[in-house]
Parts: sequence; C-alpha cells; structure tokens
Amino acid sequence: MSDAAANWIWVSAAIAVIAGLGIYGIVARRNLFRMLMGFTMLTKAVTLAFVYGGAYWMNPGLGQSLAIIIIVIEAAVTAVGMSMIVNIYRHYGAVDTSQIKRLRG
Amino acid sequence: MLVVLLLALMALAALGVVFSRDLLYAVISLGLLSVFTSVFFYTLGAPYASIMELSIGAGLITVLFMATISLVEERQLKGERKLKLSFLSVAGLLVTGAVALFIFTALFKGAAAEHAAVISPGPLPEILWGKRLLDVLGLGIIIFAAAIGIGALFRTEGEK
Repeated sequence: MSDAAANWIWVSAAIAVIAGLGIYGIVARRNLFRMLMGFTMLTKAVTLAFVYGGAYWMNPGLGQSLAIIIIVIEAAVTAVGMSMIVNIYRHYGAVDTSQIKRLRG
Repeated sequence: MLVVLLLALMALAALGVVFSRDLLYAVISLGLLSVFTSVFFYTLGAPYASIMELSIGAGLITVLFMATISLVEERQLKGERKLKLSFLSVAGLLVTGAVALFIFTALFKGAAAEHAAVISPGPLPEILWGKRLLDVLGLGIIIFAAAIGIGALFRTEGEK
C-alpha cells in the first residue's frame, strides 16, 4: 500500500466533502449552471472513490477502467446539459429555475 | 503530508465552486478541482485516469462551461463583466498557487516515482478490452447518443 492509499480517513473525508457540496449545489442553488457544476462535482467524488478503492485493494487497473468510463460519461452528460441550458435560455430568457417556473405560468 | 495538502486543496476548490459569487470564478475553481484530482490520481498510481481527468475534466469541461456562460450571459451583462479582484481573492489565489507549486515540485522530485514503484498501473488495456468490453461499447453508444441529442436540440431551435 502506498502512502497515498494509506490516508484513507482523509480521502474519505475529502470524498464526503466534495460529494456533499455537489449535492448542495444541485439541491440548494437555483442557477442551472451551478446545478450542473454540482453534478460534475458529484461525479468527481465518485471517480475519486473508484480510483482510491482500486489503489487501496491493490487492483488499480479495474478502478482506473471504471474511472475512465465515468469521466467520459460525465463529459457527455455535461455537454447535453449545457445544450439544454442554452435552449432553456433562448426559450425563457433566464437560467434561474425560479424565473423559469414563473414564466411557465 | 502531501496527500493531505492535496485533499485540502481539493476541498477548498469544491467550496469555491459552490460559494463563489461570479460564475467565472466557479468555473475556474472547477478546473482547479480537476487538476488537483488528476494529480492525486497520479500519486495513487493511476496515470491513465489522471490523464483522462486532466484532459477532459480540466480541459474540455472547463472550456465548455466558459463558452456556454459567455453565450448565455451576453445579453444580461452588457459591458458589465469586469473581474473585480478583491484583496482576499488575490491573497487566496496566491496562497493556493504557492501550495500547489510546493506540492508539484515535491511530487516530481521523486515522491511520485516512489508511489509508482509501489503500485503499478495494472493491466488496464486487458481489463478495458477484456472484462469491460461491454462497458466500452456502451460508452461509444452514449457518446454517439449525446452527439445526436445535442444536434437535435439545436436543430429544433433553428427550425423555429
């Protein structure tokens, strides 16, 4: 086990902080960009957990392969989400969820 | 120690993403989070995941966010957008830069090589193209679907 893999408490804390802030960004913020950033952070925490788990249980290849799959899916989902935000902005003229709800009537 | 510093920087960058007022700062913090994550992956002996995170997370996604924000906020912030650098933000940036520089120099002086010697990257191609072949094929389909979805979203808007 390497030095990096030995600090499991700190890594778990960092994963919890990043995932918690991501969930907070999705749930509490009203700007669509902030929500998408929260989602990106959440996937980063998951990626971190996979790679760290692979290193901790001495199977880094499997953890890396799963991490690569997650990173690519994250990029695809972010691109689709951003195109949706652009369309929402063109349609409603706002990227704030409260304004979008109000404009819908 | 280095690992703990790196993790603390990651947590700080995550805080910056959620709590910074300007969206531009949030995007920069997201890019920094990706950079620190990729360095941490490298210290864990995962170079392939590290390079993917650096190129896609810090590169592609940051550029996508910047482009989309500039596209959307153009009307709302006509001539208003100026980066207001307060003393606190400048000091924070300087401290973050200094700590990051310390970590990078310490890592590339030999610590990273020691880690890499302890944990080898593993037979990633065999796993990716052997055990996880179905996942890789699904990945291709997802990317294709995403490209078609983006095209469809923009085409619908164009026809109106």
